[in-house]
Amino acid sequence: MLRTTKVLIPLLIALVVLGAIGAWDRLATGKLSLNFGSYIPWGIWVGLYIYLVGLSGGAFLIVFLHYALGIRALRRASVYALLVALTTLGAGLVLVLADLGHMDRFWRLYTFANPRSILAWMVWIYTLYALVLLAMLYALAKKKQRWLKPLSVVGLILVITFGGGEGALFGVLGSKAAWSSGVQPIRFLFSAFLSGAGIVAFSTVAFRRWQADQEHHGQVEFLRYLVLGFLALNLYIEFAEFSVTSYSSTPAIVETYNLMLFGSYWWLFWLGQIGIGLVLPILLLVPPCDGKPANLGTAGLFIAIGLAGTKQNFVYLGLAVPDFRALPEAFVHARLSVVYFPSLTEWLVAIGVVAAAALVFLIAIEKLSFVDGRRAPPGEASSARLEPLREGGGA
Amino acid sequence: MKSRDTQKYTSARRDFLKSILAATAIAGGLSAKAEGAEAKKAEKALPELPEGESLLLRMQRELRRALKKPIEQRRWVMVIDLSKCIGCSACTIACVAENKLPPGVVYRPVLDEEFGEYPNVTRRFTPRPCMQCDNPPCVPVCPVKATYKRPDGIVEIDYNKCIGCRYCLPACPYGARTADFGEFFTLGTPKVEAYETQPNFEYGREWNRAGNKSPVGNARKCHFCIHRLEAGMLPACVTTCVGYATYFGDTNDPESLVSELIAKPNVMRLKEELGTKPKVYYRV
Repeated sequence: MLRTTKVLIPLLIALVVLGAIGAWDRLATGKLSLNFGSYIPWGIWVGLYIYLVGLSGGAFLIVFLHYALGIRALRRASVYALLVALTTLGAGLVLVLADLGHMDRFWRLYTFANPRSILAWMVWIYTLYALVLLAMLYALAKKKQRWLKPLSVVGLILVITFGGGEGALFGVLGSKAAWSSGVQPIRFLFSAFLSGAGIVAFSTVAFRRWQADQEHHGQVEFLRYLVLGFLALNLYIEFAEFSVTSYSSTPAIVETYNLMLFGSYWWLFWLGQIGIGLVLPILLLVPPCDGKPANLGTAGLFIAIGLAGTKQNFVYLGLAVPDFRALPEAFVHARLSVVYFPSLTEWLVAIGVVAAAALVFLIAIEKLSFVDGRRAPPGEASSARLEPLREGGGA
Repeated sequence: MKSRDTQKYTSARRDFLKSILAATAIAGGLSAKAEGAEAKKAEKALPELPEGESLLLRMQRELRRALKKPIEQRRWVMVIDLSKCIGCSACTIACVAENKLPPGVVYRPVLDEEFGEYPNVTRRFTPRPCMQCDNPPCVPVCPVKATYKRPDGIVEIDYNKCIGCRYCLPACPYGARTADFGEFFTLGTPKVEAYETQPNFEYGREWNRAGNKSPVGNARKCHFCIHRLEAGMLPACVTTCVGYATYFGDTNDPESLVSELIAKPNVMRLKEELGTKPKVYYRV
């Protein structure tokens, strides 16, 4: 077992226990101990759900690049990516289930789905995607290599559908000025790719079970370029969204951006999104990582943290501007407020679920036989200069 | 003998006529049932209305007239006269009492806005029920078809179907939906008082709030007091308004008060530019 894993497992178990306490409270007291209300109807769990599910889709891109496009530099990372995709999808769905007012009725999403609702479609797509992930895991375990390429193609189609669909989930709400935009599906999809690439980069560096050989350096360099590319793309999309909407004369949009920049969550934007999620990763990744894979790992972790904050900001600030200015004061109650900070139960459940996902991932990379822990055969190793990047047929 | 025969004949004819009348009555009854069973039921249970020309009595008579029609021919509309509203919030409280709303759930808040600078200062009070939109943005987003528009235009929530995802809450541009988090006013005291656990009768059914039973965990909103309408009564907010600032009726009835009011140019609807076609009008 890796030394890092040995240290982390007891810590993660402790966090899962804390999460279990939160979950018990949620089940015992219903929604009484949750801090969101009617004007801020979604809290930290929904923010984390969209982040984690997006992250799962982003990680799957690595799987696709290897198994469908045959990029051999990602041979080892693709297995990690598949495990990341599975665990984060599970965590995201558990959180959104916990958020439901009637968890016991979730089955209605399958039996009485409204074909006009994007949310209903998303649930169906998540289900198909989960099945694809499980089938890939099975194929890896049973060495059914021929399954992997078609499954990864189907998986990516589903990722693009739900990755964009998550943005559409918010974008179609015309009543929320800060959300209602055609760019949301693209914005969500590419931020998912960035977070996925980031977390896979981090996990392959921090929990590496193979030698730091030529193949590893090739993988590090490839991931560095990939993450930098997605960083640049995200920067462009965010700039487009920010610049156009902040110049908008729609007061609700301007107010949302003012809240984001100077409101009570200013630190989440400036320190989380900009500092940790953008500036630091760029500083770490622009110089070549060759010989310094730790830079890539750290940058990946920073990106993952920064984007988690971005999604929280997105959900909260989209709701923080009331439909009528006088509405929160028209009938005063804590549930009818536009101010939100997660309760202890919300924190505990969120931390516990994320810790559980991390724990499952760490155990999986230790126990599953197909996780690469050996030096790759010399003929298969790709060079640090990433040549050749493409070889048909995948692994 | 003749007289006995005549008597027998008369009796047979009477029986025949009786059976014809009974058959006609049954056939008529069935036909009426097919046309509007609900309307008949409501009409049957209605008490007599007193004589008088007050606005409330007029609206009450119009309501009963509307109830005689099949449900799809009714078009309920609310008109709120902002110049008459004094911001007493009696309608809000009446609604809370009628629907036994728990803490944090409100169907009809009154927006209180102040305009101008001293000495030219004024306040505007805007009661904000559910707009019962003709194009309700809350309906298509519901993933389980738990919210829908009834044939009479009222947007209903089926509490037993709602999974509590709250997607409909941000979808409403009027903030008209609130979520029931299972709170009680006397929660945290030695005993949750019995008056808080009394059932309410929203949508004409009995709902007992206890534990996680619906409507706890659901989205909730104003429904124009459907349960009262179907019993021939005006919504609680209308009857409670001290200044006759809220009017209610069937806009498919050209002689109704609301039809007269909304035909005038001094009415507006909130956020009309969104195309939601609210059925709550404001007189300004």
